[in-house]
Amino acid sequence: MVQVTANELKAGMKVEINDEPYLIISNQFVKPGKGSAFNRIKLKNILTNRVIDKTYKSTEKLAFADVEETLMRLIYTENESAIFMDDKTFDQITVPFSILKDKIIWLKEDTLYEILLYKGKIIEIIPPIFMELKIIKTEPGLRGDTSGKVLKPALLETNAKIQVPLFINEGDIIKVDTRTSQYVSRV
Amino acid sequence: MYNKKIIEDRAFLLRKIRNFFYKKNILEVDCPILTKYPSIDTHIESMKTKFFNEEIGYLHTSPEYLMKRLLSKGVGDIYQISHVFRKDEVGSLHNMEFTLIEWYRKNISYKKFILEVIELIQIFLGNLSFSKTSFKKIFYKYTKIDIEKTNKKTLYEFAKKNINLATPFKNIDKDSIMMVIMNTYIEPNIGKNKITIIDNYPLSQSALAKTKKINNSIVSERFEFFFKGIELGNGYHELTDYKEQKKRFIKINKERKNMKKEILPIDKKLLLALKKGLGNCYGIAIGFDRLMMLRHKKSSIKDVILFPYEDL
Repeated sequence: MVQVTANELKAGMKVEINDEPYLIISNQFVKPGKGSAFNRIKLKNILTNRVIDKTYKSTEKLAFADVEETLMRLIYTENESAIFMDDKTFDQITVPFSILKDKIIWLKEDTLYEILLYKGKIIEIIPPIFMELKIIKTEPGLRGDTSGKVLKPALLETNAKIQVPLFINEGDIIKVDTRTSQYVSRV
Repeated sequence: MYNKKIIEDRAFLLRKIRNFFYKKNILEVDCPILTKYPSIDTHIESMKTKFFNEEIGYLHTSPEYLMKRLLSKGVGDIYQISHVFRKDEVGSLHNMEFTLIEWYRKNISYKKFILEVIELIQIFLGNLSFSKTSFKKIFYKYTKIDIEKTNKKTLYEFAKKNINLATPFKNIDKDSIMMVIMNTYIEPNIGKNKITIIDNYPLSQSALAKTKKINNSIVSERFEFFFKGIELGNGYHELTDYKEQKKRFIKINKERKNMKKEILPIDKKLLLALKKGLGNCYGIAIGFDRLMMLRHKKSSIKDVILFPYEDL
């Protein structure tokens, strides 16, 4: 297993602690003038999203987590799962909706998703930051109001419910930020 | 960092400090920063380079050893403002190269020396008040643990519970646990509105300080200054017994060997200087950059250093 000392950890790296993968959020170096060095590390459990703090001796070795990222295309969804395919190898995987959690509202066929694998098992699906999606239901648009300051609810083709400006109509295609579920612009 | 105001202020403060020492008749010295002997310390690593013929040279971690050699020759009170180097120390309060103000005073009382240090800190931070406590007292205040009576297990349990210490029990020694509790659990609360001095450190926590007896226990005459949870400087009633010094250096090398760290060559000329005699002497090293950081209310030392490590 590839190891790294606590002092070398940087935000974004992934390590394994007690058989679970963690993402490093921040790493603070602590050292008195005379005395051994420590690192106070803020980590997020990738499986549970829980954020914790840990203190390690700077020389303490941690193992990198066996987390792989790969891009796969959604080919179709079934009742309780989504089927993704690797464009290069044509390998297909079936991902149960239970793993998708809150990402379930961003499933659109033929879109490329970032798939996180931990020890070969899928743990998370990350949609593109911006997606262009069709409005399937909203109150009729108000002509003339283009300020975008007043918002109304709308249902997107992926079943996501978001807030859009008053001038948006059913059938319009909009750009949305999937991290915040916020409307960005009309396409 | 490029901040003209801070660059100018660094120059201004350097001038003020030199003036401060000049008025007190303390002589500026500029001992070499590249030396043949490293500081012997369990937890401080020197950066290495080479002289001729593969002879190893060390960038100093403080000008202490050479300044002490000057003291033994009878130079009198001296100070040095110097860039120093400490390997692998990078963080919001650490940069591998930083600026240290170090000075030594002969035949001065502890009280007078403390006041002199406060006076210097006030040049940077204004007229702050100060208070003094001992290591034992402050440790007990925050943890209810008596460091003279406790054991490794009690300290480890406390650290596990309160600072999520995750290093396994067998990989860490008692003193390191005590110090990580001190550094991360206690120190951040120290000196919120005034300069706080902590003194009488446990014996294990000083390589070059004299010791004294308080209520049947022996402590080292080491003292540290804090403001807003940040360590500003570390001072000693300087150890002048060369045999004792030699013993401590050997002990440190043993500890380093156990930690699989490099054994360091001992500076015989320093020991000879101690043998010849330093006289009764107090010394301290104060971090110039940390004082600048507090002066400018910055959260990172990188904001007041011209080219921090990341920007070289």
